[in-house]
Amino acid sequence: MEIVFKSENLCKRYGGFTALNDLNMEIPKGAIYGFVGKNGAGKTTLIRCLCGLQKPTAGSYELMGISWEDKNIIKSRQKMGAVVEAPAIYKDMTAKDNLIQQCLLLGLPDFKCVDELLKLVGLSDTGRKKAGKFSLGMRQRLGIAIALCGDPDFIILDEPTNGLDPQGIIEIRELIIKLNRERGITFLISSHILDELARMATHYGFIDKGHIVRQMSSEELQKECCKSVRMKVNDTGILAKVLEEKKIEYKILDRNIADVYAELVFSEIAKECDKAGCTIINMEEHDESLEAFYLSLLGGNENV
Amino acid sequence: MFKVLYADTRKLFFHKGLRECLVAVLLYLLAYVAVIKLVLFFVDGEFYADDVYTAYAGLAVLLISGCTLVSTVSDYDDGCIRNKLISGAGRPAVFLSALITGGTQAVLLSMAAFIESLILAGIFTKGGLMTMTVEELADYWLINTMACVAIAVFSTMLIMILGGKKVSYIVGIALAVGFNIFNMEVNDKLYPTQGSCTLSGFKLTLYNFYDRFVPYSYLSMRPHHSTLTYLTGAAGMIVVSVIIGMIIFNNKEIQ
Repeated sequence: MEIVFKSENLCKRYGGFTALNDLNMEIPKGAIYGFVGKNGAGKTTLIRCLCGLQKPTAGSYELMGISWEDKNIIKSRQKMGAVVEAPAIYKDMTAKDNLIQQCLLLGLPDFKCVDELLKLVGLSDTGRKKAGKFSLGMRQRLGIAIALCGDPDFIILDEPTNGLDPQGIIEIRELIIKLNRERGITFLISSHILDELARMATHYGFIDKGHIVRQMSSEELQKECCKSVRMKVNDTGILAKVLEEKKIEYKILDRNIADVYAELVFSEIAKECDKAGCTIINMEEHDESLEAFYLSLLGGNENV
Repeated sequence: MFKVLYADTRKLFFHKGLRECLVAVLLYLLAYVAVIKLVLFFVDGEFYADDVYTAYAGLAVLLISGCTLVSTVSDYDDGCIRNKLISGAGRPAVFLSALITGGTQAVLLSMAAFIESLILAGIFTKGGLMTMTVEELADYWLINTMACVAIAVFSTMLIMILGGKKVSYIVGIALAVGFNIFNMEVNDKLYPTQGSCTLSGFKLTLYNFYDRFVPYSYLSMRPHHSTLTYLTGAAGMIVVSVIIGMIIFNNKEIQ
């Protein structure tokens, strides 16, 4: 398996505060790597180190096989695009001029990619409108287009859906999936919206207190997330008695809805409920969300 | 380095801040000539070309500091400095390019002021362009432009090492205003209008050094040292800004 980014015992300290603590992480080529952690867990610090904005205090990392201390790391960074915190755009320029600016910065021989990128991110009809007057979603898409200049192999997106409306979130998600599938671009995405991340990530890294707690693929995550059956009944109190008798784990959500953590034989449970006077309105399989897994892994439900 | 510089220079021509500063220079000179002509309409006196040529110098320190502040701070705020580093540009290239772009802004503003001064002096002053020799004129604007470039480079360096935070505005403007006030003190003490200079010892050395080698002082009076002295001062300030700034920026943690 080819690795795009690999860190070994990476540490970053700011005075007495340790932002990254012996962080070991691997991002496989072609992955959409969901980077999950609380506020202050060290996500942005790692991204800043990776982008060369800050130097690690100890440990090492490799970007596309080149060590961070090697001068040639610049070549790896030229094959990388990133939107860190906010998209880097010149507000006095149009979307097209912003992309030409990035082409010049990268030393590209021509600007052929500009129109194609504008079309790809859905900004080809912005004309002479200055980027400063763009909506948040348009800026985010322009930021991604800038990151895509020079045909990068690896893109880092720090909170790409922050502040976007539902339509914008869907558009960004579809764009990421499309770029990953069609161009084979590897993504590192840090996001607070876990359910959104769950819709696109192929791999996950859970970070807490500057340390990677767990890395896994989406298949592994799916196996670990226990499945449940969501039942809608006329009275969850009666259902609880039935389930307790059968020693089945459950969670009451409200007067009518409960999650049952077991593989149920529908006809059997229906008979038991009927006997106890509980009417089943409907039942459906329900996957435990990434959010629930996150909470069980890291504990607490503070800012995710 | 040239890729970054090319991109930065292109950006300059899109920047609203530079365009606004250019308009401010042009309007200031027009207003200056209009006010003097109006005053001279009521009071007997002559209006010479020198007065128009030196008018820009009075505004230059604040204008240059303001212009570099606006463009470089917005580069930081909008994440463009960060983007250059992420895109694989080296820190020395990013830093030097910012300084050169700052200097270019100063040259453009000085050129605009020079051309407008020539036109206004030719039309509105007694004797028109004939009151100064071409050599004097060239020397004056060379010194003026070099001083502006040095101030722009120093101001940009400060913003680059301060990380474009709001404090950059405070420090930049405070320095510009502070130097303007200090210029008055130095000129008043070194060249008193009545009597002779009474300074001595360290203070005299310090004031003399400031008057000869610190470009902030060059714009406060008409040139009274050799052109070489002024160019040495401007070059010195640029070199010091580059060296100090490069050392700090190379080790700076960018947010």
